[in-house]
Amino acid sequence: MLLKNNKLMPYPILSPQRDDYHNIIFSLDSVDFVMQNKTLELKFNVSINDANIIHLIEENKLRLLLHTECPQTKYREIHTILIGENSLLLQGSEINGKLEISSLLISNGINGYSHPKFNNLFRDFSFNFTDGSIFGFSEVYTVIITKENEDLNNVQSIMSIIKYENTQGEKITVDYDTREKIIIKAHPSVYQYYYSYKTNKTFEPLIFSSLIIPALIEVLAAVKDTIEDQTYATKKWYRVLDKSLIKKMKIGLEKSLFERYQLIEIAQSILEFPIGDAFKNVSNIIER
Amino acid sequence: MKIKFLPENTLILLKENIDYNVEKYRLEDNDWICKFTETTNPFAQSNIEFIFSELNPNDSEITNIKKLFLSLKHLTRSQASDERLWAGLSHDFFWKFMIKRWDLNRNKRGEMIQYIKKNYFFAHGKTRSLMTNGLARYWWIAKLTFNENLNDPFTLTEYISKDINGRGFPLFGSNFSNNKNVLFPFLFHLKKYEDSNPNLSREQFLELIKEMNLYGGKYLLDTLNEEKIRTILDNKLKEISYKEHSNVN
Repeated sequence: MLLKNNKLMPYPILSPQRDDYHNIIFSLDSVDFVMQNKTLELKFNVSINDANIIHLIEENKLRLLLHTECPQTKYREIHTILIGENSLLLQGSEINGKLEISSLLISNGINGYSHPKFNNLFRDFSFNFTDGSIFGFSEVYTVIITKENEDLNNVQSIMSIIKYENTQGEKITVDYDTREKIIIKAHPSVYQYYYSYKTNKTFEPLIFSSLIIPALIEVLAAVKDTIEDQTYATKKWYRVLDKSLIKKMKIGLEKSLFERYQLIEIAQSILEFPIGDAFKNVSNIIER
Repeated sequence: MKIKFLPENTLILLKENIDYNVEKYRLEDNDWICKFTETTNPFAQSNIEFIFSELNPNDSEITNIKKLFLSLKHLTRSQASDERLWAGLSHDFFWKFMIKRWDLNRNKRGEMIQYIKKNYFFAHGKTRSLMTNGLARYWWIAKLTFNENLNDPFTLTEYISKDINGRGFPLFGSNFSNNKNVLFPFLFHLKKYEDSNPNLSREQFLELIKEMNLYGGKYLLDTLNEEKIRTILDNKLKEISYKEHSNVN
């Protein structure tokens, strides 16, 4: 559940994203998860540093809840949680892809509420919170739950080269937006060559150099353009490339990578510099 | 029998080449798939058991919804949100049903391509596609409304299936419908209301969804009890009825 933090409300909401209170912490952090057999164990910490609000929870005037929602599987549930460290077991089969979690403070009915740490705007006022109304919310965390044992070390597992009948002029195009993999669409005549040689190790550097490096440059340019928004961070191909770069260049898909290296350098590094081998193999074939 | 699905690469190949294969989606036989994918078996077998029960394109939506859901009731949410499963079932077991139920009775080629993409594959975001795919929508409508505590567990499914496009899509597009503790009282109360007031229009139904979403800005709807949800709806229904009455006068 994504609550809008810029929503104007006629009463104060306790949230790290708002300034309706001064110096009160209500946060959800140290979020971690383990998928074991068919169970997803969520671990997280909830902090509240205000005695008045803790007292309202102890008096059962406020409920401290964790809201869990997986848009892809239409799973949505609430769970009662505690201040401090929590561990929660969820059914793994209910969730796939993004799981959004946030902690909320929900009123059980509070009348004439005021607080000495209200923002000046609310000071000298008191408020009534009816049953079920939102009193506070934390940051929203998104964790990515993947079901298949994805091989994060294998760059080739995130590339698909397919025959594309509508391509004119033997061209190739790349699609990284619509799926978890990077799709290279090749004109049938190009694809036919690829299909004939794809399992032949001699031709692998040539395939990498002529098809995959240009596609990777295109993908890296898109990542670079959207690095602030992390537009593609939830894609499987992004996670694999990130991990591969950390292993090979000691730096993942972040701003400083693109400041230090050209896209063509990064693409070659991911594929372990295949261009030299491509030329060598072609010249060996010619000399045969 | 085990469910067969489309492996990722085959799915991408078929989906990206709909334009080239568009006329094949009129054929009684699906053997063109082997030829196009250059393989003798383009499908992969899952571990999910399945009692195949043919759907009939001439039957009502609710009949097909019940039939499909009962044969696949054991699917998990995770499995049922996978495009490979529905694309596999559409191109294999349910091919004959699909070409008739979602026949290409369209003039423009662009529309036909989009129609195939929407019904045989996931054409939109992962969540919306569950409701627009020609088979997945049957399973998900039943999954979200099936209530084993009722004498007829499909009571709410039948109610919403009377107008899937006008009422079902907007309702299931609202996040509150993902929680049964909110959805069941919402549907049950409106069904009861309509039993004695059968003239609730599509627009009025949408106003009620909007009202719930408005309340969702202030309340965590998941925590509201049935009585509170009934009160929200009753107040809005009174307003709707008053407006209607004023317009008539």
